[in-house]
Amino acid sequence: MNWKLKDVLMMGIISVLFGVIYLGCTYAGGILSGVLTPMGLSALGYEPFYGIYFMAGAFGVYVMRKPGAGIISEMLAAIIECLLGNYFGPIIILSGLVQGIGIELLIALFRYKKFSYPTMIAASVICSVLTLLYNLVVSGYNQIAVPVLLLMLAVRIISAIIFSGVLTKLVCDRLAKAGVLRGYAVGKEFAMSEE
Amino acid sequence: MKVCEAAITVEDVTFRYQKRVILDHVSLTIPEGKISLIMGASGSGKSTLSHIASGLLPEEDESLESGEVYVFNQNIRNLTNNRRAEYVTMMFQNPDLQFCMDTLRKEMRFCLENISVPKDEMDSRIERIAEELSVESLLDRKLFTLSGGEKQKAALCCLRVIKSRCIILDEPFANLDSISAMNLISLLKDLRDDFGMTIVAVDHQIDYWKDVFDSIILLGSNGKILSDGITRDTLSSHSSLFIKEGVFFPDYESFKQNRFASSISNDKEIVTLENLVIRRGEESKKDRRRRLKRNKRGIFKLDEADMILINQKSKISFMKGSMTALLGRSGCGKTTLFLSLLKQHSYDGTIEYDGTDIKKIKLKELSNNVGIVFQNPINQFITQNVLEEVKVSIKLWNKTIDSDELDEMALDMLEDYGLRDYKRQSPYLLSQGQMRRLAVLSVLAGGQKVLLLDEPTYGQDRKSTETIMSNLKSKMESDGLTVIFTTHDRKLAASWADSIYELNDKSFINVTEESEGRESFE
Amino acid sequence: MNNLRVERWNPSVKMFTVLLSVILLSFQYKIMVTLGVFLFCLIMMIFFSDARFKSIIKILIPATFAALGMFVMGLYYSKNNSITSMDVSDISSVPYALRAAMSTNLISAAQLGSRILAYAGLGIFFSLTTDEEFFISSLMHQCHLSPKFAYGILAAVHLVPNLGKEYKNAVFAFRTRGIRVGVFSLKPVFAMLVNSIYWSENIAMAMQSKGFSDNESRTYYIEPKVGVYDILLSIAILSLIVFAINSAPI
Repeated sequence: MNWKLKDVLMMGIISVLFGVIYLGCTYAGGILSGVLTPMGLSALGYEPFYGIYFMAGAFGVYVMRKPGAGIISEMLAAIIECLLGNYFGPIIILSGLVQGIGIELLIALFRYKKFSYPTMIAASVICSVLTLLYNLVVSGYNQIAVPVLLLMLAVRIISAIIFSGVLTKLVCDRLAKAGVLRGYAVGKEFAMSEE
Repeated sequence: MKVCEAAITVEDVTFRYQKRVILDHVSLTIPEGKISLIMGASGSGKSTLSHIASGLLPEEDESLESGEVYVFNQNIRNLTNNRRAEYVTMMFQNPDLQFCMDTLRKEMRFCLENISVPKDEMDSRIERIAEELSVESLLDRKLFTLSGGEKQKAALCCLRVIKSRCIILDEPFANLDSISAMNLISLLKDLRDDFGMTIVAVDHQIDYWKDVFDSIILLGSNGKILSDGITRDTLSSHSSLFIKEGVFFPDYESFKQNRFASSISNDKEIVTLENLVIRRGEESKKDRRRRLKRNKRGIFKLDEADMILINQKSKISFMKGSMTALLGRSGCGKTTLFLSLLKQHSYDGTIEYDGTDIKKIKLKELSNNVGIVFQNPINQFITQNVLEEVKVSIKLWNKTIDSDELDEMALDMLEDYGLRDYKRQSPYLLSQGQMRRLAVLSVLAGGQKVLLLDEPTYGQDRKSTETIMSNLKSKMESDGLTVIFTTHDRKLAASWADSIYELNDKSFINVTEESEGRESFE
Repeated sequence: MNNLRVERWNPSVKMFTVLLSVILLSFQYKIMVTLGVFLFCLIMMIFFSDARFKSIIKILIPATFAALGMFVMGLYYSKNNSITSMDVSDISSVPYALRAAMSTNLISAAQLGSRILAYAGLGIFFSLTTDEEFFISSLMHQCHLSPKFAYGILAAVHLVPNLGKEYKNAVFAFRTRGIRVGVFSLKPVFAMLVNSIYWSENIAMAMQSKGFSDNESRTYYIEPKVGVYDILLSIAILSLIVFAINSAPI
């Protein structure tokens, strides 16, 4: 695992950035959740922003393109969020692990060689499904009626496709084009395709 | 082997960054126990050279095309980071990005851990250095609350606690006011005189160093050594070389001719400030109440007076078509004043633009009239291409311009700013100095009537400084632009501004006359 | 007295205790157990830690809302008696059916809500009683986290104040250039990503210049150790939970 110090710092700072954006969105999510509470759908309120959770992992694996990049990035993000005072504390490290595996699974199957939109979108869908399975056991979602679960899964998948599937790739490609990722795998591949 | 006299020896170093050659067969020697300055115009590769000399470049996956670097007769390649730190360490330009811990005490512990100092010795070593550099009061304060000068002093403490024999400084004063800079200089002088430390500084400006330096190495393009070993005695004989290269030379007064203090087209006020009170940033009303409560309990001792940045009783007017410089210590509120002028920071009192209270002007309309260039240029780029960056700005203001004309206009502007060669490059890949020039240029290409510039010439060599300032002047003459800029550089202010205000003890004092007087006496 | 503070509990052991508790709790549905764990965490924080009461309350409020939300959700949409599967063709019977469904759902609702509460209790207990550097040091010493990651994490966390400031500046800089920046605009996020990448390069250089190496040995100012008491406390808490799971009636 040859991570350089600057890679760790970059993923760390970017996780903080995504964490702050996520926090901003949870205010919106909180309001939405509050509105949905009387209808019994409060947990649905946060689902539209779920994809932002996956962004750190998606960003890490997309930029560094090596085994473990997604899982480690997501774990880094989780430890940082724990330090910044998330009320689930170290429990989110566990969720981070699941999210990291979820996002990296498919990319690992492709041996870190395919990073097209379909790959990133499929990875995001797998991540959504896997995290919902985790919620079934750990958060007790198995007590909830199936149609509602399906609705939640649908919203989560859409969110993941938008944020970790499309948006992450879009932003990373633009960063690579601007030349700021030249020290990383994605930047080098971009430079090669330019020549 | 003879006794070590060279702290650093650079032998025939060639360094390439992607396809561009930065250093071309450079060799030089830095003597031990002296203060050496490395000077050169932007693009001379002096910053890269300093990074190579301190072992931070090339990074793991890069390599030098040729050449070797020795520190105290040891090949720097063979030293691990922790061993190298005992020979040479570096202090960087940006004071915000030098620390990984949140207080100086913890950062110094981190340094000592790096070089494997036993735990029991750490505390005493930290205390001793803190006393030596009299920073005891900074030890446990959060680093992000320190001023730029204090941060650089803290950085120096870290290098000192490592007992590094040589320190390299990369434009350490770029963001400091003159008092903080002089303060640091005297510390550095003591380190040389009392401990025989070797100090190497990369700088555009010689002024702060002129009484303490031992020798200057002047670099031309690609690190070509133009002159080595310029001493204080021989400095004056090199003035023409400095000027030819576009490097600042002490007391060089070519600016004078550009000054036209009486040329203000009319005496119409465009921006006025009255009874202005601006409080320290980020404090909401709720925070303020909380702070006052804490004060009562004596937990945290920031009192009301400390929170006020600017308390301006008398009226200040900025005249249409004039250039005003704002001086003052860093962190004293000049930037915050700009934010208030653009309704981005709360204030009490009155700010008027063109006779109307800005509270009554919509933000969008206000920013159509008042533009700003920030210190960090990265925040203001919108495209991934230098040429596009300028074109976007021109286009926003002249919607009808045809594309040939647009190209020509943008290229002319880039030519003026020495950026034409980089037109296809990403703005983010420019050097610090180039980035700032592009940021100024892209705002200047807009059609605002008032421009606020936060340290527009930070990190620029003399040639670029003159280009930026004279472009502003010509825009003032042709379009009646009004310019207000902050600077640490008194000489710059005296040479270009029609009026100069100094923020002293929370209010602005008009020092125009005073500065003029001093300039001509010196 | 100082010895009784949970701040002194080894953070890694504390973390694993919390995580194991979560795993134990996720395979059972007894309300008394989950509520018991929540209360236990509160008691520990109030009597055996330096956590300020005010901060406990402050962080508890959003957690309570989340728990309440899950409770109501369970009330409406439990898998056994979800209102989604109800026959709503007969309008007049809906209010009654709803009430009937809710009363049978009450248990699973309480299970869902209290579970969130228990997790939040554990999480808050950890967050408020653990010093961040002590935690990271412990991860280095007990979990073999490499110093590169440990100090990288700390450096990133310490940049939070800068991040907020620069973000505001970026939004504002774009506005004054005449570019529209909405809440969901990508431009300032993009600028911040560029900043982050530059910052990481700069800080990495500064750290390496100060002698930080990935593989060389180093000394440590804080060196958390695992003592007998750390393990005993952990075992005690976990067995208490196992015992409660086995003996609680509901």
